Amino acid sequence: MPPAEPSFTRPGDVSRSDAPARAAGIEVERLTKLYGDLVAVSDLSFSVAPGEVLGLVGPNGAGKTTTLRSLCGIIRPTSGAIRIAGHDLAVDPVPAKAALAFVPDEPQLFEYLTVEEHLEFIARLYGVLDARERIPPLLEELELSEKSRTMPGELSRGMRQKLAIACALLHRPTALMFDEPLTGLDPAGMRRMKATIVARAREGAAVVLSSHLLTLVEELCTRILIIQGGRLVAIGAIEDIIAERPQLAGRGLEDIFLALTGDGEPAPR
Amino acid sequence: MTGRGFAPLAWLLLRGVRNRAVRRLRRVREPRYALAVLAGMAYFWLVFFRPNHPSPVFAAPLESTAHLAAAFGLAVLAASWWLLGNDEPALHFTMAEVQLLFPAPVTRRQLVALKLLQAQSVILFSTLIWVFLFHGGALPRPARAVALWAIFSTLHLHRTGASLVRASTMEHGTAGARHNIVALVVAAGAAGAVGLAVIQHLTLLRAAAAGGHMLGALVTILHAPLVKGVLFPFRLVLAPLFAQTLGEWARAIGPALLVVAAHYVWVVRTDTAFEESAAENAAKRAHVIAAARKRGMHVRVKPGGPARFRIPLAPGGAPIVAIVWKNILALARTFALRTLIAIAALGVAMVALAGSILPDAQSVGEVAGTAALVFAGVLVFIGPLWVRNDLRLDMLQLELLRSYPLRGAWIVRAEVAGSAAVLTVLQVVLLVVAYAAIPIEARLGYTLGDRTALMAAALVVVPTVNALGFLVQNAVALIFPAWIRLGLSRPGGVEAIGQGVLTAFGSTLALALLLLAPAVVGGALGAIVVSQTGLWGLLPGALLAAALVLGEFWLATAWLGRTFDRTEPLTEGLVE
Repeated sequence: MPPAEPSFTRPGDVSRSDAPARAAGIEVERLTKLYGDLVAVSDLSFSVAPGEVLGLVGPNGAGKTTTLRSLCGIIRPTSGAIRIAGHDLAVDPVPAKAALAFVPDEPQLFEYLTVEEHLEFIARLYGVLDARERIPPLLEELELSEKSRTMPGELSRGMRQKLAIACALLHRPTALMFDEPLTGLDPAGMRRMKATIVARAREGAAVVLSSHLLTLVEELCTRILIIQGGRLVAIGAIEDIIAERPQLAGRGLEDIFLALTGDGEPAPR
Repeated sequence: MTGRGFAPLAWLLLRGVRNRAVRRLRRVREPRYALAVLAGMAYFWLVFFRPNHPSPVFAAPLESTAHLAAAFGLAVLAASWWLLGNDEPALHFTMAEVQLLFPAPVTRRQLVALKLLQAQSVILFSTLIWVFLFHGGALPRPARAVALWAIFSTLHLHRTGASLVRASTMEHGTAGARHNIVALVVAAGAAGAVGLAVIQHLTLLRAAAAGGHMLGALVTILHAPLVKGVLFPFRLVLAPLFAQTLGEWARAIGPALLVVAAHYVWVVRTDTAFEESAAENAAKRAHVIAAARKRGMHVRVKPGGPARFRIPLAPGGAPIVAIVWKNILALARTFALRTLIAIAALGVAMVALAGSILPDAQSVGEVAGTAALVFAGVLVFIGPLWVRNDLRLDMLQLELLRSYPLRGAWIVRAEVAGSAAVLTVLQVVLLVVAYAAIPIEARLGYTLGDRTALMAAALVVVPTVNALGFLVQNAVALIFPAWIRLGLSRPGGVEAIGQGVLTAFGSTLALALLLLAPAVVGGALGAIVVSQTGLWGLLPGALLAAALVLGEFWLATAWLGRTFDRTEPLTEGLVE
């Protein structure tokens, strides 16, 4: 784990009132998603404990986004069960969704709401009663204070991404999903983003991070889930994956990934 | 800049049409879309093809009052484009077009031509609808189709040209005005000539108003040489449609097509504003607009301009209020305020005109109040098509909505409530105007008590009827998202009026079916109580009808909520 750095959220932000729910994290049991005859995800099971950062990696079309969208309740699994903070997403979607947040690779914003209004909207939707106190420092932290009354159309790609992150963090989610979280951020923003992910995990959130940036995954994630063709290829800490496959000993995540997905020859050492 | 010919753009155009058609046809494999197709075919048969089905036909001869009145209508429409402009930009470029075609070796005029040709799919569809809608008459269908096509094409080209000239004038000020001086002088001259004709006939108008034969005076003005001169191009383009024989049509179609061709040349050459938007600085703006449009929005970009209109939202309380709040802000920030101001100004001007012509203030009040009452009633039907700050906008953000901690049924209710609330407020304002403006001594002769009773009944019924009207529109957006245009912008222009007519007929039919039972039951109770107590007896009937409507609304939104929860953004083509 890297040392603590300036992050998008301050330590101690997280509410401690939901400790029992927090203990559950994210649990996925035999998740399958079909689009007609196309198998997007097949029989996928894993869990993410509170405080853990799970890296979700796989080649293009492996089913990462489908998995993430299923975890967020955006799409309905064909079969299988997903529990967020102990709530079954299919049976009890409202409390399950109230506990999670999703930061997509392409920020989804309402073009007619200002930066500040996005946060006010999220506050009402999720019942963040102390929003008035939380929003100004959050905007300050994200360097969006001067843009608080600006429409998203006038923001740069990176600022839009920061706003999407602010919306995701405002209600103190206990399960966080990130899809390519560094896209569009400048180097300082990337550093803060990484620190934020780590900080949220330290505060007890279960985090799933999907990215093609294997160095990012290697840097932040406590465990890695590799999928291909919608199926689980490997899961565990890098050391555990190597321990099960001695031929990969001494190689980096990129080589391990390519070897396991059969996408190419490992890079020469 | 040298172009590589229009062939690649023509290929793009044709392939796009083909692929969209194939994609829509593939949808028919799904049961709900197949059922919709069957229902649509039955609807078409009932409306257009039923044997012995009476149909309105153009029986009026050339240069008749009907011909002139139609030309005057088109002139008013054209004037509104020049004076009020259009909320939409003149030429719509998608994000892909901005990224791929702007830097490509294609001339700007070719791009303008591409946009004009792309609009032809809508124009041709509208032509088809109108040919069947107005069947019968002396002309064979192909001749009528060509006549209608010429009208719709002229209108589309004129609207585009007017928008380009306005945009150019606004961008470049005096220089832009100088560049488009001919168009501006013609437009101003036409407006001046009509104004002059009205002033010339003011005495006649006053006498007609006093004598109660206003229509005759208006017809006289319509036939005045000055007005006929201004209407000349509009008469030309309408002439083939009013032709009574094929010979008349053959003589009229040439000049009409010349008007179309002249418009095309004018628009393609009026590319100053487009050149500006192709420049590096404006390309960025086009990118932002295209990104916004991808989400179904048209957002006027004002760099650094903060949002002035705000509505406070407390963090505590029912979460669905957040969605209603968001949608009202969406409407406030995307609806062109100048449109509302223009409508209000038009109303005030008409009342002022009536005041200058009609003998007393009471008559003016009657005119103003009756107009407000009629408009409030018309809004019941056109309002749900007009106000679109609901699922028709938010389906483009379905992924976001699906991630919120709310049941689908509540999301649907909140979406409908936002639009219905806005329309209801507008109608209540109109009803209050009618209540206050129509004199007690007016022809209907209601007492103050009766009028208050009618008002109370209307205030009970209107919000619930609006809710059902918007429910129908939202249901279509939710069940058939792949078939309708999502976003705030409707298919634009008079050329798209054919689709509008179809949608309005279908929506009104669905609304009528939903209102049938509440109207019968509530109406029966109202009639019984009215016979005993007078008009205040309408109130129990209205309350019962409203309760039944709300019951239907509740059940329907519960079902639609389950549909919302099942709707997949990817399979519905709502994510890239």
